[in-house]
Amino acid sequence: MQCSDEQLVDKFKSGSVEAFEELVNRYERKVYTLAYRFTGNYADAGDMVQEVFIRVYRALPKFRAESSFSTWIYKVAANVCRDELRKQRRKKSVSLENMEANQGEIAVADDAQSPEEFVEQRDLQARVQKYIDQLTEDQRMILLLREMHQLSYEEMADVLECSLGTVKSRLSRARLALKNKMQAAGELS
Amino acid sequence: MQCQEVRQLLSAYMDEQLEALQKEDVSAHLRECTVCVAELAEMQQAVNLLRQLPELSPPPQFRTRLSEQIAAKDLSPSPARPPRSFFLQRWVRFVAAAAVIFLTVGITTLLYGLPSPWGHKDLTQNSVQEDAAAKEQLTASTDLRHRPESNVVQAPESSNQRGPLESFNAGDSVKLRKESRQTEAIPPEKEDGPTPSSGIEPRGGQGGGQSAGENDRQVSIMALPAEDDSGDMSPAQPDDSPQMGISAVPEEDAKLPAKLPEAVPEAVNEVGNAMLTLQVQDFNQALNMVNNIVEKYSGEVIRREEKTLELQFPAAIYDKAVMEMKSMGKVLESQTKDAVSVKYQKINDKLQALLKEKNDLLQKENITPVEKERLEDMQNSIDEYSRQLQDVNKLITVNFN
Repeated sequence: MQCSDEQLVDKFKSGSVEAFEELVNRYERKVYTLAYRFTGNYADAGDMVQEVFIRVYRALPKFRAESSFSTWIYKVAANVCRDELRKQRRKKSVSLENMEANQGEIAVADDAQSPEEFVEQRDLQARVQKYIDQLTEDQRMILLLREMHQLSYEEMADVLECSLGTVKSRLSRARLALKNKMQAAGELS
Repeated sequence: MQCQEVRQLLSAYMDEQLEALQKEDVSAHLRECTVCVAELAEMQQAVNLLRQLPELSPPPQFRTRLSEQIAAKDLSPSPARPPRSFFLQRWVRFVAAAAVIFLTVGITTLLYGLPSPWGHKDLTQNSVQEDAAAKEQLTASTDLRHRPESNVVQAPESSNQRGPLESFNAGDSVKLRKESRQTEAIPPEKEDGPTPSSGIEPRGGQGGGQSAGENDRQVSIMALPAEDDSGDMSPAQPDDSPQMGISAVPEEDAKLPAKLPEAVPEAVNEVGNAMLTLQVQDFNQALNMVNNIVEKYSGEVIRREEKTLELQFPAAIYDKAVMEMKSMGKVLESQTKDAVSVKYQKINDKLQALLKEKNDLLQKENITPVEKERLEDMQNSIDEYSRQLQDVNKLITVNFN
């Protein structure tokens, strides 16, 4: 029987390093995906996933399970994402060229796909990432949490530390903005 | 309600987050306003594009760096915890592989609990003999030759022990392969048609070719070694590698629930396998990824045999696991499309057809009253089919947690 996240947290508090490893196993891809989709930059996402788990490791002994571990780690990840953006703004080191160079998408090959279809899928994913990049910070985050990580409205309110009403209105605006950008680019049929 | 007001509510409407009255008002408006209907469809389309983006893996050096950082900053929160390096010990025993290698994995999905006669008799009484037979057959196989023990890197645990992948042959050539099969008990009068045309036919003890409705449980299980003996492979199994099948499921699986939950109207027993052949660049990384996928999706390593790994995943997340397997390397061969039951497939086909029809209707500039009625009927059917699919998924999840 697989341990729940909360059981792993308890084990970690009792000194089990393996429990932390297991938590990393479970969440590294989720956190990395969120970081990459948020920044659109692989190098930054690599640093951010590192930072998230360092913070988790530090804070886990004090984790009181007022929310689920899953929600909590998303909250940590969201904070790291925001911090990263602030850092980048201060340093003004975001190079558009660099970001574009980093936007080679990792498409998942499907055996039923021809090479042309595979390329098409990869290109589509790169275009979708560009639409995400064009959204505001808040819109990006809430869209990613909802559409890619399937968080509930309540979980999003917890992660983003805002009310349910704010979640609804922010998500609505984010979806509308995404739709408008895709529509303007002729992406929607 | 005015269009402007409705559009602000479409997002919450999509997620069924509106109060009953609001939802009713929006629904009423959508029945009358084709512009807002189109707006909703476009928003859904945009969101779907976002949802299709794949999950990504952090760079290979991530764990090493994390381990180093934790050690360097002396972050150990407990005095009882000695400083140590994370993540390294699990795979350190594996030898580095050649530049380009293949990994062989057989993936088995049990979509529903095995009734005890099937699971107990076939999975436990015969498992040892069948394992031995399978090993013998491996020796004669072209691309799955049994390696001498000295060439096999073994984890301390028994090879039959289930859990995350902890041993693998560090051979110079590993081929990832997954197999597909399904079995379900559906009343013949309803479901005794042919198996899906593109699917992998359930193989019986005499070499397969039976319809899903005819494919009983014993046949499915017992067929594995028999097919290897006879060499009579199903047409949908083009590779001549041995079938690493259900016989390897350990005894504890025989304890899976023998009864369906009452809420489910008819018995659905499904066994879906898939075959996948992948070419990967880095052997250790591939092993690591397999282990991660197994752990991430609550899977289990059912059998390790030379270059073949047989893994089991809960059905509800089976597709995701397969997708991640595919992302590990270049897909050389794959048969996965029908790793669902005939019943599931039929419901899903109907659902997809309805969704397409609905979408086509919504694209029209002017929708007639008759078409509006048709839209409502379609939506009801879509809801019903979605619910039915959800039931199957729930059933699967419960049985394997």
